[in-house]
Amino acid sequence: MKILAVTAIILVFTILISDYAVYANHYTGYRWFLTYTNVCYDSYSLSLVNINRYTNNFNVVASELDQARNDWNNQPSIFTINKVNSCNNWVTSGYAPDQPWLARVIKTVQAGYIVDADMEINRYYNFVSWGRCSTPPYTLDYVARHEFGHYVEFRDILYWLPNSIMHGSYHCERWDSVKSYDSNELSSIYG
Amino acid sequence: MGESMAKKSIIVTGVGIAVGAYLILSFFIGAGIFEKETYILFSEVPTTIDEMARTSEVIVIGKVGNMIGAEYYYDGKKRKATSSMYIDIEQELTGNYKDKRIMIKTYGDGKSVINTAVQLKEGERVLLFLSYSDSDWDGEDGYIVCCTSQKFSIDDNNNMAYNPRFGSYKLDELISIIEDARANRIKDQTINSDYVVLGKVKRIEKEEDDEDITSRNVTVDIAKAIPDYKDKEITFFIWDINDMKDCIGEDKLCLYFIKYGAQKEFGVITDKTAEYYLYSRLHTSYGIYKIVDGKVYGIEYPEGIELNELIERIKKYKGLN
Repeated sequence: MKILAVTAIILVFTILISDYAVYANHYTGYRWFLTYTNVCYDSYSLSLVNINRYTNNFNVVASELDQARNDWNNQPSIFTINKVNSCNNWVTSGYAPDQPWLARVIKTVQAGYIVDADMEINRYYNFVSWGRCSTPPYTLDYVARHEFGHYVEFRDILYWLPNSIMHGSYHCERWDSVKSYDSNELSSIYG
Repeated sequence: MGESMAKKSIIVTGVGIAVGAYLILSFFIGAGIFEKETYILFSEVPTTIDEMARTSEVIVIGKVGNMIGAEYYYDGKKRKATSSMYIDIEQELTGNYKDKRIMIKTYGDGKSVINTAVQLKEGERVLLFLSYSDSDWDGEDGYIVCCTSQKFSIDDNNNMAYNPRFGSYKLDELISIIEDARANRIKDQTINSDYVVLGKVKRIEKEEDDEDITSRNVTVDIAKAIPDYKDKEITFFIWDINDMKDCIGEDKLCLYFIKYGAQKEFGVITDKTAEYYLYSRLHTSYGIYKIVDGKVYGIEYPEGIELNELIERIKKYKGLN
């Protein structure tokens, strides 16, 4: 009984301090419990996204998502986002005309940990699979790379410095790769 | 000694059971330290105050009222939540909205679902850029405030307006920036285009024989071109033909902002792609204006403007009058 009580107290204490155990400037304070998470691509809604002047182009959309995901996975941090066929965390598309967002992440947290995160791409906008600074269309892997930054648990940065992928609006030079600032902070959260 | 140990054991066991029960109960009902919270985060388009001022249907300064309802959506893959509230309007800057209050929506419910980009608190004085959205879920239809760029918070004490992305402005200064931008609507669009063409669609061609391709070469019979164009028709490339569905048909007269250099601009394309393309910012449809009963409607003129008046403006911005 004593062991049970002590374990319970330690568990509560651990959960309560988990939010404060890591310091990173644009860390939301929540993280995945494990050092990986799984993500699934919704082939139906993603095939409706206009990329490279085509719809029904799921393979290209998936490839763009993979490119963005793997940029995060290839950082020194042990944290990875794995693509699987069945899971809770979906990447989908939706149609929200005249709204100034290209994609969004909706995530649920519980006891300091993320338990679910879904990404939705706004197919009101058109996308390409090569780097573009003038817009539209927008480079999909840039947008997805920023959104996966929300997956690994960064919030948007709204001031000019540092050089980070987490600046909140589309920017070809900031969103074209995971920056060392982001990579270092990812390591500080997950190791 | 034995009695004291027994008391301690009872206390430790009691605390352990209480903590255990609290944890188990919290976990299953999603309360306490196991309470669930949902956050929404956005990738936003790279807009500016000027663009927001020119393209918003309604721009209001007013106070946020209490939440009048919330709607939720979940289909197993996608979750959404919006809440509705009124803004008591103190000033409207476009002239497009006459009532004293306007119902708006925002993402999240402010309690269990939090929009991290923008929050609207009851009693808060704000300046909002609004455009009507007709989305694929009824819950987000309406004048929706989703994103950072749409809201300035106003501090009543010093009349300063603040937006996390755009910074701080005196309210008078911000209103002046908005009014100046609106007074110069269509200017940037005109300056950045090589030709502004009034005409009807004559021909639409695919550059590739594929049923899923959305781009087209569109040939327009020119009724008027500013400046004058060498031929009676002009062909331009458009990324998604669905963006000009209001202009396809025998009687559909539209205004097109056209720029040279499709190959250079888009990199790809084929040797069949037209040399000109439809110039637009932020969204591919923004370079097309439809004409109905002598009035022109488009992103910078949702309320419409007389065709002749717009033509004169375009000529002025092109330095042709």
